[in-house]
Amino acid sequence: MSAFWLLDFVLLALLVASAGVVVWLRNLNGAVMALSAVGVLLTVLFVALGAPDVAHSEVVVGAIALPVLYLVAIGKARTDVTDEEDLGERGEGRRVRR
Amino acid sequence: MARAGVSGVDGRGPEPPEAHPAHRPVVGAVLVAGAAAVLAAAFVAIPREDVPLPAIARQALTASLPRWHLTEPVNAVVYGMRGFDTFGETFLLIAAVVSVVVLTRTREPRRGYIGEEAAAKEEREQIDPSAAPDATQREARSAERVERGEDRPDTPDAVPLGTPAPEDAEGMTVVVRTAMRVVAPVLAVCGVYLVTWGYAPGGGFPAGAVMLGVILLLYAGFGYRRIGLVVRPAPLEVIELVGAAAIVLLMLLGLLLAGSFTANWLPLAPPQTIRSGGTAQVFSVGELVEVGAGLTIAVFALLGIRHDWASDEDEGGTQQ
Amino acid sequence: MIVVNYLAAAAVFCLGLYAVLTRRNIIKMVMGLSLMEASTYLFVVSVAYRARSTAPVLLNPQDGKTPAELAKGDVADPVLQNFCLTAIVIGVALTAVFLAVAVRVAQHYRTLDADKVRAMRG
Repeated sequence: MSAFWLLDFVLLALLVASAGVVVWLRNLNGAVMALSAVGVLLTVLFVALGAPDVAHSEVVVGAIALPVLYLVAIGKARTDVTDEEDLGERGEGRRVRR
Repeated sequence: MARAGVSGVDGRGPEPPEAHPAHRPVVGAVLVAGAAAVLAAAFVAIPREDVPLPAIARQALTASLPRWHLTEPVNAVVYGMRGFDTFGETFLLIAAVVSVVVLTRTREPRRGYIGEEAAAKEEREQIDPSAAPDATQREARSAERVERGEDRPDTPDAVPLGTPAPEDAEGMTVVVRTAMRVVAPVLAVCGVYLVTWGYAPGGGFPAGAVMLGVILLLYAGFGYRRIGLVVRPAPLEVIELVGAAAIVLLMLLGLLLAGSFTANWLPLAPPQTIRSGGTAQVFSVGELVEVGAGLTIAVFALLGIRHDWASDEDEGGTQQ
Repeated sequence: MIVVNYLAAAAVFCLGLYAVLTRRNIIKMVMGLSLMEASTYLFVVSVAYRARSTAPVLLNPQDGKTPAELAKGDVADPVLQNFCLTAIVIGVALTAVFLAVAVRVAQHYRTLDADKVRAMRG
């Protein structure tokens, strides 16, 4: 059980934990941050597993492209959706004058 | 619209009969448990990490230096040996960007992505736009604009301290803007660095996404008006398709000059120099241009989406 | 020991599948899809890993090997890493399209709830 495998198992545990957070968090913005955490943890795993090119792409996607797309989509969708308490998202669903 | 039992349009009414979510978690859990069992059984039987490399990987590794003069086999594989696969993936990204642009199209043609709907509001409201407004009308109109809070300050610096948040200035305070003036070029150079040294890890796609990050940084700091000159549908789409056309031309020349579609027809510089990869390096730069512009178009098209298609006046459609 | 990577990838895949099957918010479903894609990236790179291997980078290798020797030594599998690179690019492209569709659904049906959307089809 060398240090490499220890690091590997710790990262995998964190990864599965943040994936669980993505599924069970009711607040959508929080879930997006958890998804970004999944991306960054994957990047560290790829560096450990000897895949620098894939780590480059994954950090850029996991930290820049995906969160921006999700947050913009949530913001745009929420301006027209009236508050839905049972929809599983506690954000402020009020109509916003743009 | 099929009104199966739904009274309120915004879902306030009684639950439609077949939409009870009660059964879904149990069924979902059972299906997922089945999938988990199958996956676990399959993954345990997969060869572990002590298996020798497959022949194709060994061939890719050994051929990367002599044939492409690249000391980075992954780049040699991505942009050289399996260039056709990357070619397909690049054009799939273009197809996705085109479909996002089509999905987020606004009803009227527009020059910029954001803030166009407020541009002609003044003229639309005046009865006779050609009649010159006299002093009282101008004063009344500016008072009304202040009351509606529409003349947003360009940057919040002039706003007195302690005004109720959120301030609706377009840009950010002077501290953030000066920090961005320092950081943005550094990040842009980091992005381009990723793609220039083909013989080290990095490639066109991460560099393009870093460019997206730099553009979003400038948008957040300075507001859309300052970057609206470049980040408009017209120039961005041209830049993206120029990158794509460069890739196609590069590949076709490979067909003409070197026999096969993605063959390398450029003279090979010695390894560990900037031009060492032949066409792999040019492909990577072409993909940088195409991915950077494509992702920017996708994000800003999503930002500029407006609700002006479904003009459902009868349900109080919002005409923002 | 790499089996743990495979099983973690299977676990993240099943979490994503569970999110897609049971969540009612359309954007949460798209997040489930992103989780499933993330698990495939992890799985592919874990399969590409070799025991005690370094990254497939022949640029000035350590312990005195020449690039040619390293190419024959124990190095991770570059071809599988290329598959993962392609998968990441396609994942981003598809997520952008899914989210554009989700926003249009939200605007047209006034709700992000998949059940209500199915009830109000038309």
